[in-house]
Amino acid sequence: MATREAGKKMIMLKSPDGMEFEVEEAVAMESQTIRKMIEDDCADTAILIPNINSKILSRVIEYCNKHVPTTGATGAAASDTVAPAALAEDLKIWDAEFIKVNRATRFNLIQAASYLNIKGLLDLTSQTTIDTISDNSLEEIRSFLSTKNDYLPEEEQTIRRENQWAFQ
Amino acid sequence: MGLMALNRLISRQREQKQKRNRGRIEANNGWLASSLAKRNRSPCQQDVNSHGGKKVRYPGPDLPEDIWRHIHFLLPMQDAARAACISQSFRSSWKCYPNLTFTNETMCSKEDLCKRTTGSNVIRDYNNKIDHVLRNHSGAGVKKLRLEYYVIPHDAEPYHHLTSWLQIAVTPGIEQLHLTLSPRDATFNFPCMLLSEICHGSIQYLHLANLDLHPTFQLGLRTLKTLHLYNVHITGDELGCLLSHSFALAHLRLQYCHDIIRLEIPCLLQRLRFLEVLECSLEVLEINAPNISRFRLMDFNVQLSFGKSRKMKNLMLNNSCGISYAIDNLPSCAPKVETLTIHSSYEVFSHS
Repeated sequence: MATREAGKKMIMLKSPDGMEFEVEEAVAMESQTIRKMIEDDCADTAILIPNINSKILSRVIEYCNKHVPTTGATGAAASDTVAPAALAEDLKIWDAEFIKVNRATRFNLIQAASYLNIKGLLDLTSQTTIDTISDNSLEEIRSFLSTKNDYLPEEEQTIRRENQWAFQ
Repeated sequence: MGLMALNRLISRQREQKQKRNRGRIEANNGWLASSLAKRNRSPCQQDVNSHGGKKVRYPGPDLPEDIWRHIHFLLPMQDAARAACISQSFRSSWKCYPNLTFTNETMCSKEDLCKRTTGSNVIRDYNNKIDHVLRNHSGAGVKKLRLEYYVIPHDAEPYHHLTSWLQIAVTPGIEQLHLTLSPRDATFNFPCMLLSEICHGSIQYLHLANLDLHPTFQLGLRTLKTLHLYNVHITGDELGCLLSHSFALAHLRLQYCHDIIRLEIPCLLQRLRFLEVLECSLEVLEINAPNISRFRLMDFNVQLSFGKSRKMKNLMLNNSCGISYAIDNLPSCAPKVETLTIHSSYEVFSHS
């Protein structure tokens, strides 16, 4: 239900396991998917977020709360006193702590960020996976991704030969 | 991403989860076999689910294919090529990798890098690697192509590879093209049809170096925002054809383009903010674009004419009569200049 609390418009988000989260509209609109629903006037009642459980949804809201611009109408006072560079540095440290989660949670967060279309969160969660792919051997990556090597031996030889330059 | 499609995906995932909870082993819930993989399949995905006639089945992390593709495309090119060896699906997405960067740094081992791609054998090896990548690329989805092309000395067909690579990688939808030939006296005639027919609707950034460019008709590059020409053989009229419809142009840099004698920057280029003309042997430069805020000129004997430019803030003149020109003209035609740098070694000027 869209309500007003202390001058701020509030939005109700519901997870499929029945939990309800009341969040500021500006925070919810960090998600482009929800922003579109609100702008199209589809958000009069609570918004059901169909595939994201309450544990992940609460983490997503935590991220959006931290990243919502703090100037103007939504305004926490912090931005008035802290320099933008210091704020960005603070966010970076906060992000690094936020993403210290196990693999399953990270994949759930990636999927949530993709569905809710939150670019910052998708970049953050993707980057940690990118680092894993960049830093490890093929076998380690396969194991991390739970992916089997589905090449026939001769196919694998061909693809390795084609991309030999990338292993130098 | 359509919400309906996502909701269908979500309900299928839920069904799969319920099946797993009932103790049934469901092996095909990986990203390849997800319902998302079956919709919107692009031509370069067609071989994904068939593998010698039998379906690919393996358990995988519960992420849909488009997210894996998003992650794969964020990797630097070398890492992305290695990732192609992980599985068939990564190979399939590698065929559509969008940011192709073929330079000494990305394609050569550190050992060869020291040789700076000078010997014929080193160049042949470099070309073979690029050839492998491009012959296995679908051509679809390329957004950026950066290519350093080295001509093999005394080669009978020095531009054979380059022509075929451009045909593969320059496809509709390309946004950035950065092509540098080496050595500096290469004589490759860039095919203007590629620009006018293939990428006129999408190209935003064009950087060409050490080649010939001779458009004889209007190319219609409506989306072009940045143009850098470095040691390009092009005349003033031909540059006019190139920029005939480039009303989005914001940044223009011409350097060592010695065939341009007279150059007019027309007032139709309303969005042009940055203009640099460096060592082009120009005789006449007439600037009528009204919104330039930064202008750098390094050309000794050019006769400069400057229309009203109320937004000019940063100006650098390296010119034989820079001081007298600035005193006589700038207060009236560019009154808002904040930074003015003049290099004029031989100018004799007395001011009372």
